[in-house]
Amino acid sequence: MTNAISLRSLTRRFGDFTAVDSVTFDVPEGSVMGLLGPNGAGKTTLIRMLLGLLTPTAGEGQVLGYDLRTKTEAIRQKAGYMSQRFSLYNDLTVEENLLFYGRVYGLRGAGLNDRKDELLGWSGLGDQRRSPAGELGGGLRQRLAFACAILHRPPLLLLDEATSGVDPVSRRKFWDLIYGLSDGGTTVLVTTHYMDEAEHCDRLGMILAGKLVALGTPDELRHAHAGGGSLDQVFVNLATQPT
Amino acid sequence: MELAMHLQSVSKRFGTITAVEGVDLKVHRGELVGLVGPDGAGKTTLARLAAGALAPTAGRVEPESRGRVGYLTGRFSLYPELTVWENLTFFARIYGMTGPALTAEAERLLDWVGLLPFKTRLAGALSGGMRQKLALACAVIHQPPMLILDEPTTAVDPVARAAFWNLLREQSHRGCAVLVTTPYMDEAEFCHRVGLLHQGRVLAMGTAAELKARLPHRMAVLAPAAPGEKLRRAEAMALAAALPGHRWSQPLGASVRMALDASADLLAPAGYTLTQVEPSLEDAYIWLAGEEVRA
Repeated sequence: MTNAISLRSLTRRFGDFTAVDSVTFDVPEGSVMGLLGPNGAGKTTLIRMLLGLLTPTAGEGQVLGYDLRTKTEAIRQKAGYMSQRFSLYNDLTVEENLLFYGRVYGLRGAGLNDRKDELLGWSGLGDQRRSPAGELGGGLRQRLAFACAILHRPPLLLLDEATSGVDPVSRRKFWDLIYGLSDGGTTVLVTTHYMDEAEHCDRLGMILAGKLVALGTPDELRHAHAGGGSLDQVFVNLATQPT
Repeated sequence: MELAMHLQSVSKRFGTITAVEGVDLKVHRGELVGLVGPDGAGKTTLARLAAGALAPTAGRVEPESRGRVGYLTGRFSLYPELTVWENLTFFARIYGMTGPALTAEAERLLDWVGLLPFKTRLAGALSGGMRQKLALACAVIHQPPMLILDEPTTAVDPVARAAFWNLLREQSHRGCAVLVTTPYMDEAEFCHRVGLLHQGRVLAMGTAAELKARLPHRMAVLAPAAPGEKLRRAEAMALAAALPGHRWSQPLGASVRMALDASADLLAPAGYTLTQVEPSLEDAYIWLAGEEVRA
């Protein structure tokens, strides 16, 4: 199986602070990988290196087969990215937001129009197509931002704290969309500090103080680190064990 | 139990937006009450109404004069350039404390929240969990009879969250009425009573166990029988939907979580296991939110 992401001892320091400390893992194509850890653990720094926005201090990494030190432009063209603070234009309609982001990604004419209609249907936003984005509720806004992030059909999707913060019903719909993409071959990497979000992932990496301290399926982690208990307990046990 | 706070049919509108609608809520002395809900459910507005920082558009908040409420938000403003000690004594002076009484109480509180060894550290250099503990010490230094906390544990890691909830329990044990909002459903377990907040309304109020018991379904997990086998989502979802008594199903990692009629038998399809699981508060929330829509 090919890996969409492959990292070897990836490290990033800021002065004498090590934000990401020798992280090694692979993400197979088409899988959903979760990076779990508290704020400040290094998740966002890691995502920024994957996108080529930060250069590693040490270590190697490949994203979609490209070296993340040298092929940053190619990576950014092929990866979709959505953060918790996703930016939509509140005064533009749902449709106009999609058209705007489509043009940013270089889509034009009939191709852009077809893709826009396809995503309106896919995200369940057809009825709101002419509503200003600023009038949407949290769950619908999140789905619009998601549609904007995948306009260019990225084979890799990075969701940085983007899956939480909405009501449980909307969140389930959001995960239906993520699973749909994954089943179609898209690789998805999500970061979260909500343990119940992590249950949705095929595999999880637990990050503490920049280090990857555990890696496996949710079930594997529960059995290895919490005697079959909750992921919350996994976290507590890993965080409080002597190093 | 003595009533510490009573919200009666409280509503709050901002222009055309109704942030809180017809909320009834009681908090007694020594009681730890949680308000659980997602972003936009009205948690912060309700916390501000309860603290007297916002006036309701309709309804009443009693008692009206509340000079002695401790209030803490997730975005609490400590002074990052002051030390732990300086932050705490600053708030103590605001509340009129001075001299040896102030020093003794500040020492006691820092010891209580476990920050005594970090007295001289700048607040800006504390971790998220430590910052919230210091903020809690600042909020209770004047020994308020009521404590209102708006998302104090958001974005704080699980270890620090559990420690923080223990401190809140201790506040309630000493007789303080505590009202806490949180987006984390699992934190309901720490509260004496919980209100589920949805679109500005309280869907239901009770202990976590009572709320889960309102779900009229049995919950089950459908998973491939062979350990470690990858879930074929489309197939598993179709099988789940065909099971007798199926109500809803949702892929969840390597399995499908589903709700069945309470009377339905658990009949696993070939190649799969079907295991009954405890309902979660989220299952109850989704059901109750749906009830609201159906009503």
